[in-house]
Amino acid sequence: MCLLQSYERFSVANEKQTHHTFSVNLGGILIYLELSGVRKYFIMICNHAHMTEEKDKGKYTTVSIPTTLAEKLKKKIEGTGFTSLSSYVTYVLRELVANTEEDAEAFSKEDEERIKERLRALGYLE
Amino acid sequence: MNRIDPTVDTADMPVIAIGREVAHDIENITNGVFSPLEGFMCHEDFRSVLDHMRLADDTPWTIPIVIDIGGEVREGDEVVLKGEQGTTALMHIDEVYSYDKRGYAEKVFQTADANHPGIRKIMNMGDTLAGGRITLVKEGVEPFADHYLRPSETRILFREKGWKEVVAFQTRNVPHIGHEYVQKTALTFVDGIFINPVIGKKKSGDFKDEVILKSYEELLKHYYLRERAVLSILRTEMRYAGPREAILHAIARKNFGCTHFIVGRDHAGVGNYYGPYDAHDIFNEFPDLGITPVFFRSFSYCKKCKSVVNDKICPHGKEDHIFFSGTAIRKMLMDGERPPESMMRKEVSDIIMSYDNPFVE
Repeated sequence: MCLLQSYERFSVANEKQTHHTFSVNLGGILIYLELSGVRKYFIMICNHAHMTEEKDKGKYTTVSIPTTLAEKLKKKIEGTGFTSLSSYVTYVLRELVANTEEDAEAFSKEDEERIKERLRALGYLE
Repeated sequence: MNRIDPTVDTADMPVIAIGREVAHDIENITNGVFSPLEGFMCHEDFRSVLDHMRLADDTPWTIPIVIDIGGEVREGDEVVLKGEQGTTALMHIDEVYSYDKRGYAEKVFQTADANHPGIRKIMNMGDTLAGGRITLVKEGVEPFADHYLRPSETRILFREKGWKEVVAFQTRNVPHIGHEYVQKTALTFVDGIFINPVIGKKKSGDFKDEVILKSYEELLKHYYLRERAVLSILRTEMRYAGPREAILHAIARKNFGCTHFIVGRDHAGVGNYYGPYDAHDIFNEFPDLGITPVFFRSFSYCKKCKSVVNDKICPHGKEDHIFFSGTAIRKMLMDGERPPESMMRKEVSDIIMSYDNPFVE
């Protein structure tokens, strides 16, 4: 069921590949197979919510990172609350995006003066 | 983003009467407390919030903000929403959709128990929801207007005070010594504190809004530096959704311009529906919230230390501790008994005891 539903999202890499593909979602599953002497990594985007709910199709995508980095990250998250490399990477990227977003805070002079006036009238500002 | 336009002519438009809590949602959406929402949620956001605790665009959001007027409108309509207090808003109906009330309730409240106040509310809602942008035409005339500040106002206020780091304290209770300890401990590390009691529908047995506000005014007057504390209300209902509501509370305070948010034990909880620190753990799922949670565990008065302590700093046993139980304090007050000053400031208990009935019926 899982395979059938997600076959189009597989990424396959042989051992010579230096990039590791993962899904940015809430929990992917890594399957490792060795066929005819050629190592293949199947990274399936089969997070439970993802697979069981058709409506989420198309909400996740795959990106590639070096396999060596992926291995390091997998070791790093061992014993933590992260259930997969994908969940960890999603967490880190969300944090990064939040930290780089700028707060748009623009008041016109008139608005600002009107607001200050109200704050003074209510005793919040001297 | 402010979505306010008093010039909109609503004279010939169909009018739908709304309740006070919906009117509060409208004002919170349009004045930026619920930013980035621009209206009541359409189905995609509604589902995404329930399933992933995020809007469809991945922004953290944990509780649907919806209106159950789907049976009265059609997609494409423009209607006027009008509250009893005078709140008037224009809503463009982008979508009308049905929903599973039980599924909605169970996702948000983590229980199907009909005794949970949030579940009861959802089960009494209409069968279809309407999503779409809203524009506020007129604010309602509400009590405590002198203590009502919008996010645009608090942001300027904090800036004018020179506060770069501001910790927010959410409350639905009168302050006891434990609350004061938490607030002042957090305040020690930042520039100012924003005390932001929730004013709106509460469950029976909670303190009345007026009592909460007056008791805080008295506490601040006697025990806080004026230049370090701001008291202002948030008009919204308590949903008692525990961890999910803690995130919503944090988002609202971020929108007010706060950088930190105090999360105590059993935040926004009711009964035994949530674990005491579930509302702490949920923050692990939101690295992109944009506001830093400040967690407090249990705190009590230690008779040996002769001060308020928490479980990290006091070596003495339970027998030496007086716990700040809101329930115990309420019971004392109901019995006409003044709580000891190790639990509650005299000025605060004076205010509460000046009311014949300080509790919501």
